Amino acid sequence: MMNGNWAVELQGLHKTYSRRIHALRGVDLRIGRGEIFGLLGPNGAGKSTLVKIMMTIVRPLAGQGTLLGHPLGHQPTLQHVGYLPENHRFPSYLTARRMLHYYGRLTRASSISCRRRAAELLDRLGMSRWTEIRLEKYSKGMLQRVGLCQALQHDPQLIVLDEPTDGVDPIGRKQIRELLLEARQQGKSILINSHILSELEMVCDRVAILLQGRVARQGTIAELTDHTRSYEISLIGDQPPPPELLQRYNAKYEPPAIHLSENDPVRVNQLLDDLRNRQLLISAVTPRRWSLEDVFIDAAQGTGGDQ
Amino acid sequence: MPFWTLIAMTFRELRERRLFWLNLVLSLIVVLALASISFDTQGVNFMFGRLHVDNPNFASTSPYFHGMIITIVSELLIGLYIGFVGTIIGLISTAGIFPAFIEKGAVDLVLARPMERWKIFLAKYFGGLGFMLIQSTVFILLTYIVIGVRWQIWLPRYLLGIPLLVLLFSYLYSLSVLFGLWTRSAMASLFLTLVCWFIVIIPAQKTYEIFHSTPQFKDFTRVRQFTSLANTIVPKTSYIPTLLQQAIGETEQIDLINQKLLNQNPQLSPADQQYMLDFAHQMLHRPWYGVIGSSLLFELVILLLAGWRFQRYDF
Repeated sequence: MMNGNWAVELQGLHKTYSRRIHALRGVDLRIGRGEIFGLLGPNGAGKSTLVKIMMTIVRPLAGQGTLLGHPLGHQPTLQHVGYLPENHRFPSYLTARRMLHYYGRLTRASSISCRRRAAELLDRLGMSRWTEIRLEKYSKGMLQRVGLCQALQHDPQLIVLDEPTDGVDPIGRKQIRELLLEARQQGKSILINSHILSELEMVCDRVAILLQGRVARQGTIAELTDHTRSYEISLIGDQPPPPELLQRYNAKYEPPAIHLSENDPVRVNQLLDDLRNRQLLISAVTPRRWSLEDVFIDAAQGTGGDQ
Repeated sequence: MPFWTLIAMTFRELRERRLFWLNLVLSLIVVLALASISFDTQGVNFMFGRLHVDNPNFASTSPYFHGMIITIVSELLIGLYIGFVGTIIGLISTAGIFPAFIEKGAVDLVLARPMERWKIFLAKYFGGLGFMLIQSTVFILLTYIVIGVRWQIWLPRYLLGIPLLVLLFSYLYSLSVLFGLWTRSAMASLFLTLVCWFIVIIPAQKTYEIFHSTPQFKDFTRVRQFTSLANTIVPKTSYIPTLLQQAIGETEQIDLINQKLLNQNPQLSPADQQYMLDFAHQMLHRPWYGVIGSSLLFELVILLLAGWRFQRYDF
């Protein structure tokens, strides 16, 4: 049962191209209001199709969904949605100012607000010196920045970004990250489709991993990585730990450290006590956890269980 | 509001192309050449009077003078130059509008706006017509002034040539849009449109004229019926000069000119001359609403097909 409490709610979305290519095979997804949501998946997983269905660019074969409480395809809702597609092609003969004005007007924003917001955003992203220069002179990273301005300039409630930091330098990435975090503070919902997992890890509240048209895993970063927590116990000296001890704790020894796939601190402390009792000297105990990239690769290779 | 923004942007896109300005420059050259021509009681002067040709038919005192000017202006300037050359340049310029628009990354930015697809489609379509509107307005206004100032013939209804030329262009542009959406290629769209125009539309009109104006084909009933049907279906791209002549008036003079031209052909019997004259008269006085209506119907069908494609397509 769908309600309007979610910024995005999708249920059982199916999409087939040319009756043969199954891009989506029943996707269920919810994005909360004021949440940054990351969508991950290998090439061909159906991420762009999913985003395009949300933006009415592609029609689903089956399934339903809502955007800001309105059914998918409700055109007036798009007035409150900002979108930056992957590999966007802006009219190269326009200057950044004119391009932003054009797309702002297409979103029913007034000329005055377009001008004001465009100037503000371009300044925030360090593009104010380039406003009167044609886009054909811009680098990929610069186009990405003005593209982001285009998605944000009409003050949307939902922001959908497909590879927003593609080609952007580290300073630009940081600026974009700050802008997105600020938008979240203002209660806006953001969906980011990206391959740069470390970026997503830094800003996303929740992520979903899409594999072969299905949501393979979904949750907060902590939920996805907690079960992967482990400890690394570094030892001093060449003396190896007794094999029966390693066996008892299901640990591995790779000199000079013991790797313990254990999430329970009590068990870790027990092992530490046992090691000390055997006169082994410990230099460090380091908690380890999978990164989002590890979770993604694990899911993509199908070695882990679904969450 | 977004509808008009999109129309304006489509037109701006055309303005960015060199052909737009090239066509305007060509038009100015033709207008200048026209301005260099003048008429006197003996005949016609070219190159601002540097070259004089004695010809009583073109003498300003000739009873056919107005009809002759209207025929030349409508057939050569409107029919041949802007209606043919200008239309081809227009088709070249606009053939890329839809293929470029539906490229991945470009179409997404517009479809994700609070605007129905059919409105986006129509805005792009009308934006493309802006090319011909500007070109024909500039050309016809300038030639109107030249004809008035230099030849002392003021023909306010000649300005109806502007919507007529846009109409002519719109028939072919609708085909270009359909092919552009189908093939996603500007070159293919242009090629197929020109093929349709030269291989189907023009031949359909010309074979109709040949089979109905030539006395020798009087008894080819089936063929005549078929050509009538074909001519009814296709857009009447060749009839713009005739429509303009009708709009300007003076059709009696044009009838007389036709009669005079036929009388000069000794190979034709009086009955054949009359047969051909009747056909020319009939063509000149065909109801404009029938000519425009059937052409618009064709255009509507093509646009519905193209619009359906645009509406249903997953970009």
